[in-house]
Amino acid sequence: MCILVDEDTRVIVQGITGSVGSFQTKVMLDYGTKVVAGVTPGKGGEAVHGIPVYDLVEEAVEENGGDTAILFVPGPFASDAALEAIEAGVRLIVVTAEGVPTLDVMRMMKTATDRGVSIIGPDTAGLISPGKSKVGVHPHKLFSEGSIGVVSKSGALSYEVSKALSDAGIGQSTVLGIGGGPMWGLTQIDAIEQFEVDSETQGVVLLGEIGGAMEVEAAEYIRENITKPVVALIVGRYAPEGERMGHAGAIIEYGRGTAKEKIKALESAGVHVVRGPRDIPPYIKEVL
Amino acid sequence: MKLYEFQAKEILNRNGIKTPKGIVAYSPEEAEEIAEELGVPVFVKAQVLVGGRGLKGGVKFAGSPEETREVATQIFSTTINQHRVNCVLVEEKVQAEAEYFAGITIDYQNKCPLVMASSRGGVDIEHIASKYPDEVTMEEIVTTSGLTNFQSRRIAKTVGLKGRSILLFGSILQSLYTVLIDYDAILVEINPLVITNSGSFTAVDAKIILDENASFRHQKLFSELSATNMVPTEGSGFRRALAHETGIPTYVEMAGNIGIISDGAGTGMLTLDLTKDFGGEVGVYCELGGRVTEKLIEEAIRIVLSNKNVHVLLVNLFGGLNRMDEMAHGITSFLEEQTRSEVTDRSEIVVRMSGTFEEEGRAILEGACVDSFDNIYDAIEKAVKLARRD
Repeated sequence: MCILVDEDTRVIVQGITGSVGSFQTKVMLDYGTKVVAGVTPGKGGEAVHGIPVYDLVEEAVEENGGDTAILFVPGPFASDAALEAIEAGVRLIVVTAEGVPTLDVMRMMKTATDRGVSIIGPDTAGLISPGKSKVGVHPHKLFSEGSIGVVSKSGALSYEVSKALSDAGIGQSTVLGIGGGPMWGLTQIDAIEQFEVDSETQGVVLLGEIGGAMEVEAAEYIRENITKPVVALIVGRYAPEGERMGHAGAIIEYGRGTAKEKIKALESAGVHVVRGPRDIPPYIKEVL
Repeated sequence: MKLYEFQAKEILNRNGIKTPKGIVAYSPEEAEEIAEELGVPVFVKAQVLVGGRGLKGGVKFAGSPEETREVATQIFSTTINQHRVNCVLVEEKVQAEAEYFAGITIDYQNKCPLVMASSRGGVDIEHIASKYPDEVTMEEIVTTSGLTNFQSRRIAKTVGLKGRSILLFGSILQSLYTVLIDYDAILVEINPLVITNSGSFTAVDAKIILDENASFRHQKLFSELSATNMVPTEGSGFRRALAHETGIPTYVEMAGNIGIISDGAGTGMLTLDLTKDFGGEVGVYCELGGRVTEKLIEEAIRIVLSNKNVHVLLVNLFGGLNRMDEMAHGITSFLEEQTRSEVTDRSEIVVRMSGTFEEEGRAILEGACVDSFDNIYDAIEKAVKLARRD
């Protein structure tokens, strides 16, 4: 098994006719993802890689039954696209865009919560359940099917670690990027909770970074609720205070949100914390 | 984007919040004239985008126009946390009966605006909150319904106001919320918000930070505001501004001789951490994000290497959205340009490349005689070794 997406997930690509949307649709189709429709306002009736394009998400859902949407729509238009997907009745929305205005993110998140819809992102690579489905932009050759769940703020860091796992013969159940923040739909806790319940997942890799308090909360949650082994890597150990290190959420402010405090919280919750990707496979082999 | 105090006050003014009478001066002589016009005593306040100017001599009191010129001269000649003072705000002195704090910020955890108010104005809110946590009122605003009038009055009451002041303070919070929404601000803050002996409120200092992600909705305002920004003409500040202007999301300089370029924040920070673990010293941290063009990486290399402390460049790319063939072209066109302009003093470049179209990318680099690694540790070890040699 896996979490959130599998071989039955029916995907709608918003922004399918753009260069990124079109290219990534092709890659997802090649991987075996069931992309059932695309949406670009004003381009209804066209087709991209054989996938029908609609003007409205509701038309795409009505005719093809999509349950998950991935948005290749720039930041300024992302929240409108997400609201449209919510209105059309999808259950999961992956918002890849960076630079979505703060007020837009807040409105989009509030509506999603009220309607019981899950948002992944913004600023996310999406997610992949290796061998089943990919709703994201992952270089999928580096992923392999297996029983380790990975949750990461950073997309590229999850590629790096999945590659290290795959190279060591350790497969992944689902690899989920939650995004660069500073506001998140699904959180580390949401992912860990689902990995705990998922019967196939045997262990969890938590990839965190400086900024905010999410890892500290996750540590508390793990201490109370999680029985599966968790290994964590927190990056930004040498990040200078007050500098945004690439993700909007990755900043140490007023001495808070440091890697040190997160590592301490995780270790005290019984999580094995490592310094780099190559330290993860040996630990997993040891505990499983 | 942080606004100067005088810009923030203009916006508050336009939204019905009273501020002290004041005019911006660009020279000590101008400051003197303004003091004559306003009447003394006045405060002369450095306009800089960093906090803590009061403690660094950036705010001074003057009892006469001549004294205004003298203190302005002093302020213009100081730097405040490395920021030069380009202009000062000359402002009437307001008699305060009491000082309050009123602000709206973003609660990123709960994903909503957050009102903060306190009867202990005049000092940093972080300081108030840590020292007197019970004396800071915080209330979340429900994004879909906004800040309601009754909520504003309740907050006013909680900070200890009585009678008509409840209504006045409440309407100030309403104005702050209007500014937050209308201008796409992520912080609107008045500290101190003083109540005068006539019972009216005046914003003696103001802070506004606008959301740069929403600049497309406020193009005119953003271009006006950035025209007033002081851009450094040399050194690390210049390189940082140039990087920003080029579209590079993150450019941070530190003390070492290894420059890092990455196409992801997570891998960028990992590269920084591991480089330090291996005994290297990082001089530049440059992160390009997930939408990198050939041109952008080429520009990034140029900017990072224009810092003469950088002797080794470590490019760590792990492409999802970014295509390694395009990245490789960016790197080779930088090298070709160097050859064309006969640059002899070349820095070492170590490339690590994995992910989307990595074989193609690696082949392009090979054609240009650039070695590339597949393993991040190998690349870092190589870079640290090269950096130690010189």
